[in-house]
Amino acid sequence: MRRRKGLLALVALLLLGNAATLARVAWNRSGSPEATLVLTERELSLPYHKSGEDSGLALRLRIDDAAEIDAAALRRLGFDLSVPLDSPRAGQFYRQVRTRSAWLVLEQEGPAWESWRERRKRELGARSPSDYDPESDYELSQFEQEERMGSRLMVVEAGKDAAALRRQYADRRRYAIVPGKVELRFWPAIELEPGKREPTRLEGHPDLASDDLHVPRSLRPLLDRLNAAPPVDFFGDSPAHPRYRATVAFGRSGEPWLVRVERLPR
Amino acid sequence: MALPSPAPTKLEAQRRADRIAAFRAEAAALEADGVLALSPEQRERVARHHDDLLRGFARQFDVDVNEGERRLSIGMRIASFFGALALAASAFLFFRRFWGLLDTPAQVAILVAAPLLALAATHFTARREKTGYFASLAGLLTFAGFVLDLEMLRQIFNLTPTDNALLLWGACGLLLAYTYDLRLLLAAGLLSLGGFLSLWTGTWGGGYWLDFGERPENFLPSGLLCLALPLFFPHRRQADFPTFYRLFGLLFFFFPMLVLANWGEGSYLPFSDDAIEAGYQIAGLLLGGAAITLGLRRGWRETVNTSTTFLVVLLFTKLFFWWWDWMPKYLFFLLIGLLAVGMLLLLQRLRYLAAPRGAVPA
Repeated sequence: MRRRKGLLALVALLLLGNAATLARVAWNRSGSPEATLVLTERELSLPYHKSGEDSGLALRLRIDDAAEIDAAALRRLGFDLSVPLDSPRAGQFYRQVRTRSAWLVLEQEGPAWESWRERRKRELGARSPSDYDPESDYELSQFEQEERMGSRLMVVEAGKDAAALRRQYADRRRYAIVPGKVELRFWPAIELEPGKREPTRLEGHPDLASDDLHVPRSLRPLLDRLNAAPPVDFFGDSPAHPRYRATVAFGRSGEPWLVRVERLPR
Repeated sequence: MALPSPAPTKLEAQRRADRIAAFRAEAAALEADGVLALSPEQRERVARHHDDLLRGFARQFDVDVNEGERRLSIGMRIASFFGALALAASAFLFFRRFWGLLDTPAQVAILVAAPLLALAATHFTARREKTGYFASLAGLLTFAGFVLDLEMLRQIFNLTPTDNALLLWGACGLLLAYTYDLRLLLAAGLLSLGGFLSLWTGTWGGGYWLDFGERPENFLPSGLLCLALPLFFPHRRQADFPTFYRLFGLLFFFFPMLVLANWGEGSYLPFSDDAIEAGYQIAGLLLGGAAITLGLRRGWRETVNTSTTFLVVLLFTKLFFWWWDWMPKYLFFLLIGLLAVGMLLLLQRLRYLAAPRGAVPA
């Protein structure tokens, strides 16, 4: 009798766990997508390592590393920024602050990316020739590489209320609102060289809650062909130009799924 | 032959079988020394009664009735544990190897069906076999199948990871453990639920749930709950389950203390790192000693062993940090050896104090 009841409870639990998960999927994908972005290989990269043990394929959703959340948004998220950065207890205080969940607004190839590109161009143009070797300008080649293959998907805002963020960023073909987290990073002041001092900084660093995008079998042929090809450059981690673009839908819970994958002309 | 009333559990039957074996050995020794002289009828009556009891226990519970069987049982338990782990790994790797060749509906159908089939196998083997080794193996497959099921569904549909999965896995482990008397599944269930409670503690103040491991204090409530539960819920049928509650309770409780005694930065407490480390060192020594004393008084072997291990590791890590660079190596190891001797003497004293009067010679 005890075993019979236990068995029934276990069957119910297994079915309930699956039903709840599939209901989450159905809810997320019901109705029109909350946002639809067209991304390229810059933002959705193939896996770095291929393993014969794993026949599945997931693309990695990459956001630009330079993204930072400003102080006002950090306060709205509930971070306590009351201790001045020059206070002796600032380091210990901010290192104790915990990472918080947040909705992140992702912008695809929009004003934030344009502004980053213009700023970097100005910075590189403003250098005096004594700052670098024109023959092997590492900073310039880095910038060119970033411009060609770096992700153009930028985090432009973070908040607790997804609906309020959507009202603020209404263009559903440029902005997606996804679950993520924001971490505080405290950088104490350092003396780079005599007379040149980097001041104390506090950054709000955003990150996605999940950055893997599963590729269903029907959308795999092109990606499998590209994934099977040998590395395209010396380091094997970055092609010269994006080779495909993908349409990604984001549902009611901000969780994405792949809709289409197309080859990009060379 | 009628079994003693009320009907014993498997653990009670095994303990009775052990007492019978000890009685037989001691009676033979006493007779050889000429201290005890049973008449042939008495000896015959006792032997027949014990044989009947052992046959009944063996039939009903498959208990070990001699040392050879006991050794074989330990071997079977180990084989069942590693077999279960290997089969679970095999199921996971098999699915990973071929899932990319399947369409989404087929993937979902396999994932949903796998734990249900493993559960049917668990139920079938538990009914057919008394020892529980095969049921334990199938039970762990059910648990692993359910973990794989929810995790792979999450990946296939790009869902955000959620803490609720740990709650479901924990419930699955505990239900399997209590339905089929499986200790291995109790361990799996307690680990999952302990993890769930720890991350729930971590998110209580608004923190991000996946970062719960960065604050060792998040594990302390799980430890206290595991330690308290067997005090409020007596386990007559699964008499050995409280041992596992105490074991995992102590691990959830002492492990964070060990970490914080060496890494004050990970604490929630608003004090300097040095003060936090010193506080946890003192608390660790006091609580470790108290747990050993309690374990000796109550006869909880796992409590004594876990607490002693904790104290030894706590002491040795601190001594290493304090003295390794500061003194010659021979002196360091000499002090470690002397401390070990001191600890042995202390434990011996505790053992004597905890024993019932007259049981241990002074």
